[in-house]
Amino acid sequence: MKPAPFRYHRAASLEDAIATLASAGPDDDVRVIAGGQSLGPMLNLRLVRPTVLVDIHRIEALRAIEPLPDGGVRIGACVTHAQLEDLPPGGAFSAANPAVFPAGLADVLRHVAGGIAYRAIRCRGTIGGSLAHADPAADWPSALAALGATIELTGPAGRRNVAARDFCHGLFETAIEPGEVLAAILLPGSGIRRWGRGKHCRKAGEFAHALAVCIDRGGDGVEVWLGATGAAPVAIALDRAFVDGVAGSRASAALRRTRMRERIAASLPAAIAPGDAYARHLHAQVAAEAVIDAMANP
Amino acid sequence: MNAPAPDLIDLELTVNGTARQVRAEARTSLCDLLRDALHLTGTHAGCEHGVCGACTVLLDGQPVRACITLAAACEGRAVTTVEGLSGPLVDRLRAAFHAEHALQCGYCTPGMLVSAVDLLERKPEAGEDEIRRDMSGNLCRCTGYVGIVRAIRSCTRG
Ligand SMILES: Cc1cc2nc3c(=O)[nH]c(=O)nc-3n(C[C@H](O)[C@H](O)[C@H](O)COP(=O)(O)OP(=O)(O)OC[C@H]3O[C@@H](n4cnc5c(N)ncnc54)[C@H](O)[C@@H]3O)c2cc1C
Ligand code: FES
Ligand code: FES
Repeated sequence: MKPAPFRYHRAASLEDAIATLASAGPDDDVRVIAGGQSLGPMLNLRLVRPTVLVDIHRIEALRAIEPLPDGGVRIGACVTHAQLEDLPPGGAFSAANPAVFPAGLADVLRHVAGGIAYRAIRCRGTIGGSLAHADPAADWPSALAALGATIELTGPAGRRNVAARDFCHGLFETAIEPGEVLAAILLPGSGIRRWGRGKHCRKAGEFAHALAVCIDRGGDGVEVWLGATGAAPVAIALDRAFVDGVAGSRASAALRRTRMRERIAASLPAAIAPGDAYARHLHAQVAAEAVIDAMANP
Repeated sequence: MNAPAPDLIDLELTVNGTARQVRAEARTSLCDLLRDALHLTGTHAGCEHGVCGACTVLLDGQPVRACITLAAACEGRAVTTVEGLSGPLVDRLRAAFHAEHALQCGYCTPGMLVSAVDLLERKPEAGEDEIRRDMSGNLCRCTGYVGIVRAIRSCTRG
């Protein structure tokens, strides 16, 4: 249970990290390490054997949570899950920074972050590392797609932005090109009217078997994003009139959830857990819970 | 592919209040550094991939998994292991673990104590459900958890 040997470089800045990635020799397998909470187990199990690790977790510029001029929020890639779990309840950025988050956003971030693994993992694991790793069962990919986030990547050719909904390409595959570092997550400034979430796992803190996030900004439709599908997150669009009809009906909670689940099951892509009736039921059920939960929020 | 020659790193860190200087291979985990280089064998290695919690220590006051934290990442930082836990809360917790039979073989106990101290400091009024949820990252193969949860509960304010 020991990693194969590697060289270690603690990057002093984002520029230093990018230059180190670029200077790799032809026989080198260079990797970024942030919190090490996904890479660490893979190194110990020798599932990966990089020759050089570039540690980015001390880069101050990647650790900030800041308001943007357009009312949005910029979260540095190396912000830990625990930092987001500990966001102040009133929506302020920090005790020192009186600026406030767009309505509802801090609540969603706090809730998603707090549901990841265990406190000791959350104290080191980072939001950027989670996205870059792109484990389909991870919590951030679907949540950030639902939140309409933009991912900022920096590489030798400069900076570029990718929409979170297009960022994950599949199992452990993302839009990151060799030599690039995920620098930040940008969140829109528009307020969230209601939100809801479902996560099913057998043991508290475990990776999800089914995951869903519903963010309602008050438009014509309601979108629910499903994670833990085995590949990239998937969106299912629901008609506002249908959602309001179910949420406002006087049927029992169980019946409302069943109607929502049946509607979502009818739109569940065939590629999700094909032939596994139980898993497909679970995905639809958890997505229905997220939508009903959102509609129950004030 | 040839493995590169071992990359040796000189580290300075504070362990249980004492400044230490150690030379270690870059691939060394904080857990192995504590146990093999500093002979602090209270930190236990169980699964070595982040799941069991036996290796949990405090890094700058926050709980971390020593098995998946590189020693090299701890340069300049302060580590507290079970040997270094102290204070009135810790004394009460140790007595409660004793009174409630919260351990049998003791393999999980160092990680349990570190995680429980962090939990009690962040959530001094935690109820049973919250304790069970927050301690779910520390596995015990002996006790069935009842004594552990009781011991932690007895140290809450409430
Ligand atoms: C026991 C256990 C349970 C867990 N449970 C959950 C869970 O329920 N839900 C969940 O979402 N996650 C879970 N995780 C994973 C955890 O959230 C990790 O923190 C996260 O997946 C990776 O973040 P990291 O900073 O540790 O990345 P690292 O492990 O350092 O890196 C992961 C990968 O991303 C790359 N990388 C990291 N940062 C960047 C960057 N800025 N730019 C480019 N590439 C980068 C690395 O090269 C590496 O390939 C769990 C982990 C463990 C050990
Ligand atoms: S030994 Fe570190 S979590 Fe199991
Ligand atoms: S007392 Fe034996 S593992 Fe917990």
